[in-house]
Amino acid sequence: MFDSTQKAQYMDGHRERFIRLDESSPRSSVPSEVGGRSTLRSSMPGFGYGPFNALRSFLSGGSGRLKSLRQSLTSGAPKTAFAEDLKSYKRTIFDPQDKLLFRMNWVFFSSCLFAVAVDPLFFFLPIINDSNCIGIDKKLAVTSTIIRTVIDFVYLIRVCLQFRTAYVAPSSRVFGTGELVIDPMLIAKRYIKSYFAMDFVALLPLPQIVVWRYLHIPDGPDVLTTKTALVWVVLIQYIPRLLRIFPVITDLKRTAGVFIETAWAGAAYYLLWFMLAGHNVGTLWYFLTIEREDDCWHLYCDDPNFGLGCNSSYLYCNNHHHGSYDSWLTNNSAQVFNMCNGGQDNPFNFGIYEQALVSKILSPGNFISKLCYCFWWGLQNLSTLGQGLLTSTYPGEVLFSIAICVLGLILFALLIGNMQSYLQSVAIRLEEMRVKKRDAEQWMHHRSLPLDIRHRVRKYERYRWLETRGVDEETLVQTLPKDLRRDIKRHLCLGLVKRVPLFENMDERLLDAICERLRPALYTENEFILREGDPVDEMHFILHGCLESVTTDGGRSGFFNKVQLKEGSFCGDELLTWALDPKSAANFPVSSRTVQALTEVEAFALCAEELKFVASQFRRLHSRQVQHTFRFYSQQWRTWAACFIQAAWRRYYKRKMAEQRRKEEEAASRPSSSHPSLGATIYASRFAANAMRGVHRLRSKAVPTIVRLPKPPEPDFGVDDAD
Amino acid sequence: MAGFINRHILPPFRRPPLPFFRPGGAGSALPAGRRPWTPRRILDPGDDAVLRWYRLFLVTCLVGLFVDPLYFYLLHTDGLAACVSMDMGIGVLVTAVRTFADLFYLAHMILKFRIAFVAPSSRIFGRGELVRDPDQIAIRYLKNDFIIDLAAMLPIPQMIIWFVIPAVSTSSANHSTNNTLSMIVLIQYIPRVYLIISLNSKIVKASGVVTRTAWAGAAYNLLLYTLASHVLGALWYLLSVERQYSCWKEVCTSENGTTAEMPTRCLLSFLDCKSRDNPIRQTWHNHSAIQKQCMLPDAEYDYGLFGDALNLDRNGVGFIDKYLYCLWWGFRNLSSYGQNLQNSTYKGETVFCILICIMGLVFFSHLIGNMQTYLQSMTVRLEEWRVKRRDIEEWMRHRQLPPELQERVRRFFQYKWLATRGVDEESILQSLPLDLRREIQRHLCLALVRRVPFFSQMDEQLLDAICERLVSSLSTKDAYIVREGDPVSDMLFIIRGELESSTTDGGRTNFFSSITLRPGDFCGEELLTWALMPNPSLNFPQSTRTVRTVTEVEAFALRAEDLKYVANQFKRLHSKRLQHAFRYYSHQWRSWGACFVQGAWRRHKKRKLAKELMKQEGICYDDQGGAAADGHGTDTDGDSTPLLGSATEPGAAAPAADAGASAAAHLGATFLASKFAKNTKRSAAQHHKRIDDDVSTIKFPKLAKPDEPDFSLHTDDAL
Repeated sequence: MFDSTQKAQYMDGHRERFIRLDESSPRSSVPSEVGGRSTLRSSMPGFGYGPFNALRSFLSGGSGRLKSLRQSLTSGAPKTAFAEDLKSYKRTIFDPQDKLLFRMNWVFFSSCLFAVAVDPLFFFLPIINDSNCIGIDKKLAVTSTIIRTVIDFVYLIRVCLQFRTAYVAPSSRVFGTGELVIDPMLIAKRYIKSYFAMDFVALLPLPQIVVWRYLHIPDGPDVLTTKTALVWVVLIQYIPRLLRIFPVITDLKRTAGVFIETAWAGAAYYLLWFMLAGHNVGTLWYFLTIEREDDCWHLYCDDPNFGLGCNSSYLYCNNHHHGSYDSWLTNNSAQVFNMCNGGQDNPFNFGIYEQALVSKILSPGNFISKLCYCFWWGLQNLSTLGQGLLTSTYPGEVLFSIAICVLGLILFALLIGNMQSYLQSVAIRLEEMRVKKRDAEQWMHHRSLPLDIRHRVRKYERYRWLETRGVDEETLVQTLPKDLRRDIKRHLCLGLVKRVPLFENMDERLLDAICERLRPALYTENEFILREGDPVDEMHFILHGCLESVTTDGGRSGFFNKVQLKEGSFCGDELLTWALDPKSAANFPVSSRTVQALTEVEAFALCAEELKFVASQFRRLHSRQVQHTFRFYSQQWRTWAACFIQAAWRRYYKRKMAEQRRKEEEAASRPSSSHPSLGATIYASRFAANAMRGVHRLRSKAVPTIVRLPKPPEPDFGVDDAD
Repeated sequence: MAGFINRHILPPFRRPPLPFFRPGGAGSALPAGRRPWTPRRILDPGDDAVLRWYRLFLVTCLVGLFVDPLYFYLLHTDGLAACVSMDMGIGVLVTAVRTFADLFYLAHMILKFRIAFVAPSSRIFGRGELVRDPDQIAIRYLKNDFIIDLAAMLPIPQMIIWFVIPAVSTSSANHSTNNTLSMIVLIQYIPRVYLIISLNSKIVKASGVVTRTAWAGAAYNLLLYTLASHVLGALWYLLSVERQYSCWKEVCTSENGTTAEMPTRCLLSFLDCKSRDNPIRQTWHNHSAIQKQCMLPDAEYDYGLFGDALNLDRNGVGFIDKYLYCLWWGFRNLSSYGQNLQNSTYKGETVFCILICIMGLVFFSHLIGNMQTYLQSMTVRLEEWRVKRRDIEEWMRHRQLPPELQERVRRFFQYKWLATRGVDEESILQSLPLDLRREIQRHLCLALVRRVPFFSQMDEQLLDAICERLVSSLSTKDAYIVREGDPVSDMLFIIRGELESSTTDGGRTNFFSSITLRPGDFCGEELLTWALMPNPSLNFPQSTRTVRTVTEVEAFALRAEDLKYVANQFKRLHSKRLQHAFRYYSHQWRSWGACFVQGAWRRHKKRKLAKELMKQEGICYDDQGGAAADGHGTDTDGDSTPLLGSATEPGAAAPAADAGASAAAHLGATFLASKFAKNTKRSAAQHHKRIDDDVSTIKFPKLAKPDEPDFSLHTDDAL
């Protein structure tokens, strides 16, 4: 019993220790703040003097902040929120930047345009019947009423949505996109104060009521009252229904930044407005023709000479006529109607409405042909600013003509101006290139540049256009944030930079830093990138093309070295030596080679300041592996190695020749000692003379060909040698 | 007054004005006292009141230009009676309106004597000095604009109507008088138009634009177009009356009363409608051929394009109808450059048609061009944004960016449009003067910067210096602000959005710390350490954390150079209070603090565990002592038993029984003691092994203490 008790106690202690270790893991031990939804979100420090500083900042901030604080404290629910917090807070309040709301705004915009096209159809309701009376087209009345009701219902949805859409608080727009007001009371108050009255008047179903009364109440108003009420209702309500399009357009612009995506769509949009105005003017012309015909009938009906037995009510259909209507219609109506046919012999001056009378469009017939004829009339007179209109002196007619002229002027100016804007934006880069080319030609002519330089400039400009299409790439990339900029540079440069062997073994972070600072460079044929003796301010890494690199070791006679640089090579390697030197001077190093482009070259350039920054910032550039790679691919080192090998070979050759001469001397001295005769002596002296002459020739020849190329200065890779 | 520096509101942190300005101010006040007869106010031409007057006067000039051509409608012809009459009712009304408008011209002239001007010699730099001497102002005005203003102001039509026409009403010069009136109105139109043009240029020079909004500008140009149509229509009507009178005059001249058919001679006074009751005129009219030759529509005379206008009077229409018809005629022919005109070979008529065509071209192109300019200025930002987006799309397609990267770029530009509406804020701020720029930066930044707790410890001047150098930074979702090991180039203060900040302490295994940065936090605090070092290196510090955006983030960025400048320039940044605030809010220090606390806690637990183990071992040793004691006790009992056995002889059986019992107890005790000893030894071995396991599993992450910013300078600022 005692043993088991002790064992159980040990196990409990062990388990408790493990639980505590889990609790103290670093992930969950860091406190995370719970952020509030108030605009005054500030977490106070835990020091004793914190409240005093907070109070001072509140007092110095003014009463506006105190008022905002009081409002925030008074109501329990928050009044404003950022856009990303909206979806987590309330489902019923919409974000004005919501994609669904954006699409619905497009639907609302289309329905508003359709509404201002459908409303003028009510002007076609009065017709002149076969029995020469003014009536109302019942079929068209029903159709127009149904269409208008459907369109108004669509817009009613937008009105309901406006009560549920948040808006940006103006006081929070001092920075960024601002905060959203999500209090339904404030949203409703703002909407009612701004556009609600206009929307309410636009949505009133007044034409529907007038038409319904005419169609369904047997003892309702007659044709004249219905016609008059209808035209005034539609005309007065047309203004708010036209004006409500602009808040919808404003919402679309605010959300998307552009209202029309392409330039041609913009031109078509304004052409659509022009056609819409033509349609409206045409329908109004039709209605005013009916009015003018009515005036003519009334004039002759009241005249005792023509209107014997005529009553005004006889001119309208569907009325309960008196007993004498039939006799008047049979005997005397021809006198009234014949005077108002619109012919040449009529004394009544119809002015611009005569065309409608003569063409018989007032009779009940094909509605489509009537619609097309009026549309054509409106479009013609709008586009010619009404210059073909021969008016009478009737003031209503003259005012209508003046309105057509002014409206045509406005729409014409809008159409031409906007088409020009869109066409300019389409060809803006081409025009810029053309202007730049003309500037270059003009400047070259002004400075009297020689022809070959002009030819080179033209070739370079053409090459640059092919590469970039006129887009200023550097400025365009600089507007992006740092993270996007780095990713784009990585996409553009990394695959190409890895093809340079010097960069193969670097790690990702170092390559990112280099990619951010690489600048594309383009060179045309026969251009000199570097010249021997010039300061090197850029290091170039060749991506495409072929270059020739030559050196004369400072112009020394008898020395020439030439190599070809291809893809993966680099030039300007003196700059790396200069950048890696901790105690380097401020001057740039002097180039030891002349580099010329043999074909069109694409390269990445790394300027001196950027290279120095990378070298000092990233210590991993100082490594043995990079040193070896640099030595292998550096043309300067290769040249030195080639000279070193040549010098070694020449020393070896010289040593071999000396040994051979010594053997010859030994062979010559041996036969002379064996024959002491006179002939042998003569032969020995002759051979000695020949041998001495050969030695002299070799000595004089070897002296000028021995070269002493100094070892190039080595980059200081000594720091962090352990890598 | 020009040299006196007047400061109404003195900001608290600005330096007070220097004392040597006060004697200068006193010196300036002295000449004003010496001349009490000078006017009380000399107005500045750039003043708001002067600009408002200019705009009001421009409206009045336009009204005057509209009213003047109405004089052309005073005449109307009676085709049946072949005479011309004048409508004095309209004349009275037009004269009253014109007199009211002329009063504004007079007021404008008087005001011109009170408006200062800029001396031309002082315009080489800045706006120039104002000449406020009334004598020089009067001399300059009389020399330059006075003649034209006087010509525009003179009420000549009023004098002709009220004094000249009644004086010559009975003579035959009535028509000549009316011609003189029309000619004078036309001649006076020229200085009035010139006055409007110069007024336009004055307003543009003073405030930059005539109208504030683009729509008002377009409506203004349309109004000018309407005015031109109105003048043209009125002129058309006037010329048609002239043509009618020419026809009548020609017939009247030919009928000199020498034939039998014409018993009476025609006088020119017969063409005036006032002589309609004359018996001699009635006789002449009955025998005259004037109707056959000059009366429309069967006239032998060719009226050309004026026939329509003469029909107006023949039909007896009223003034309103006549005016509207003429206005419409002007509109139609001005907008179509006179394409529908069918003129005769009369020279005046041909010149009039040429004038219509030229005016139509000028006004139409002017209207179209100006409306286009205004409409383009309304949408210039929108068009720039569209062009930039198209450039971006073309460039991304040209460079074959992957679709994911393209989507990120599009999302960023959408976000940037929402935040800035396409306006380049930096260039707008740079074009403002330094003081205004500082005030705007304070308005934009200060209220938001105070929400960052680290800045709430700073005073106003330091906050101003920081606000000037803060730039706004916008980042979209899932963007890496900085990665571990990268150089930190700016310090970011979060205003909106959330970021995730994590660290692996240089890539060490088994170490990961992740926190969420919210509005009020900051990241890149290694930069502050680097900026506050007395002799910092040129290299930027390396980041110890990887910061990634979880949502869209709006922040203020403080660049490395700006932070170093602030740290060097304002020594108050080196204070103990800021040091404490920095330590509290810095996540690097929080991470170190968390690791330190963890390490301390683990050491505490280890020490506690060791103490418990030692205590347990003490308890085991006492038990062993007890066992040994028991064994010892047993030996003592064994010794006492033989003593009792040897003492008594008759109790031999009893000692034998005791000896057996004692032997049994001894064996059991020995067995139990050995068993317990074995158990104790095994338990001790297990205990030791467990301690070794605990020691081996505990690994203290040796997180290095972060480099502390050098706040030690000027410690007298401490709390």
